[in-house]
Amino acid sequence: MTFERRRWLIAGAVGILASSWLLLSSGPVLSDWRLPLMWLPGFSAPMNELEQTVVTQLRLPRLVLGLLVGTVLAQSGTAMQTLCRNPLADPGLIGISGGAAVFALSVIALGAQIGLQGSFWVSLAAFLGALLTTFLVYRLAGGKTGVDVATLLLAGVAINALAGALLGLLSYYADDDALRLMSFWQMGSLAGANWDQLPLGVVLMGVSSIALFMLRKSINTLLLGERQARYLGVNTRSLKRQLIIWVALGVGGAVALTGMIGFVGLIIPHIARLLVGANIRWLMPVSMLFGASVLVLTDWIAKTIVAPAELPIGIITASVGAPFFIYLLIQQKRRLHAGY
Amino acid sequence: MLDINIAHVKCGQKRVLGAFDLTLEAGEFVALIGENGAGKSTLVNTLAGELNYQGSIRLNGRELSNWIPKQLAPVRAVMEQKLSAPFGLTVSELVGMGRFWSNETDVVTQQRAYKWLQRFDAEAFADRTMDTLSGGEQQRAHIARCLCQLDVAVPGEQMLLLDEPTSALDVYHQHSVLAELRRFTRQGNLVIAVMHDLNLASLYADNILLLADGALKHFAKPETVFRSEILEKTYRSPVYITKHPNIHKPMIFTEPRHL
Repeated sequence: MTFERRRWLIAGAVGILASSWLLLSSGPVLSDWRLPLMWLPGFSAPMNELEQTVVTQLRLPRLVLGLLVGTVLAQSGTAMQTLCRNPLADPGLIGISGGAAVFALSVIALGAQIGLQGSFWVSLAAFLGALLTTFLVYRLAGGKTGVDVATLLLAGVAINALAGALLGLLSYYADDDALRLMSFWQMGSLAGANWDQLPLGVVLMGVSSIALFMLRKSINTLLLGERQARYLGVNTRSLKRQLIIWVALGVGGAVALTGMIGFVGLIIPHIARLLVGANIRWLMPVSMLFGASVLVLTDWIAKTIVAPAELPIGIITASVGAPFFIYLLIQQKRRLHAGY
Repeated sequence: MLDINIAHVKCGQKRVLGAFDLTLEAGEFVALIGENGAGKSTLVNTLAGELNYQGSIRLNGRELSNWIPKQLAPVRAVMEQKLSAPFGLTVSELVGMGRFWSNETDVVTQQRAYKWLQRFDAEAFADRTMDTLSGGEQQRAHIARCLCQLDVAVPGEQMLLLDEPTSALDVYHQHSVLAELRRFTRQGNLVIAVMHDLNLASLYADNILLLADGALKHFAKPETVFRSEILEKTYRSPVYITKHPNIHKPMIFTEPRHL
């Protein structure tokens, strides 16, 4: 078992290297498989100015963003699925994406009228929206004895429904430009990646990712159920609170910078679980590696498949992810029931 | 070691446990018996600190609600009736999870886990995943996890709560598990186990705690509690009591019922 799991960890690492190489070396503008090598001192053919610009100013920030978003989405999915003891739980499900979307799109649609224009305000709004909804959902689901997971999920459903209604309403007030931006943003895209925005994302998602990773031993005990986790010595109340905050921070950050990219937080932990089992010690790192490489690969497809135009990445993740998810459900029905 | 002095335990409006005034000593193996719905699991859950109670329950002199989870873990372990078998979690990993409270290294934890798996004749399936095991094997793995959790340098004053620990076990493993639990009590610890097999309870328990309708009916040695008039009233069935030929503990016989 350990050998098998280590193999998947290595596969994930190789996946990251391969997809990163692909994203750095090829694209609609110029493609040369040797591009990532040209940084090495003493390489026979150093980069020319165009190559330098394309690789360091366009592709590299996009790669960093993709790796971060993929890692955080998959990691948050892993954490939420373990917390809810339900393989279908997803950060989107508890309303974080919906809340972030409402806030960010309000700025996109109405920002010009109140003088809050530009990506910084959109990002900030998305992050605040994520935090606010998570807090709201948490308060709704929280009682004297802590968070009730079923109520948490139901509150998430309600928040998402409300978010959907508000988004529909917003589209009436938006002008044509804002509408196009809104629809693009709702589908998610990494095209806006640049070095100015990246530090914000690195901080938000980096902190979330590290915090969740440090909690993995505690999260693991939730596999046996909340009660048993308490018997094992875990302060489950504090653990749940921390989990929700870190997930909100990470997903809020991801949504702020790239919009709503669905299915990654749902599918990647799912696949990883089928490969290495539910033990967080293996599941979390494998999910992180897979999430990062899959997101980078999907981003590469998104920008090359209809070049010179670009497809929103969410269209690809949803159209590949949803059928695959259904296939998984049918295939693994019995094993899933045994697992949870 | 465990002082129970409660007026009642309520679940919503329903009163699920009545007044309890009882002190359990270290070194005791207590078998909790009673018919279905008598409140056995409720009592276990209350003693585990999961239910709000009116009154006081003191473990080693300290009120249950004042214990910090991480401090309580090396002193008290609980095995629930419904056992979890997470997909893809190996048996040795499950047993090792008992060490969550400690700061020991993974290598030490694994060694300890194997020690307890051996004690429960489970090292053969140590690397199998929980979801592939039989019910009895899962039960042994969870008992091993509990004892691994309570494995400390200086044992004593520790409490182990078990809800039907032997229900899925064959005769051989029933005895090996109960012998292991009794050894644990002889180290100065307290074991409270819900049991349905009265003969096993008679053979291993120091004291029998009989519950009916959420109330404490009897708490005494097996010889005192296992009398036909008490058991016939509790279980509404004809009961015959004899003595075990070798160890002179009460043995209980029942009769087939014809409908």
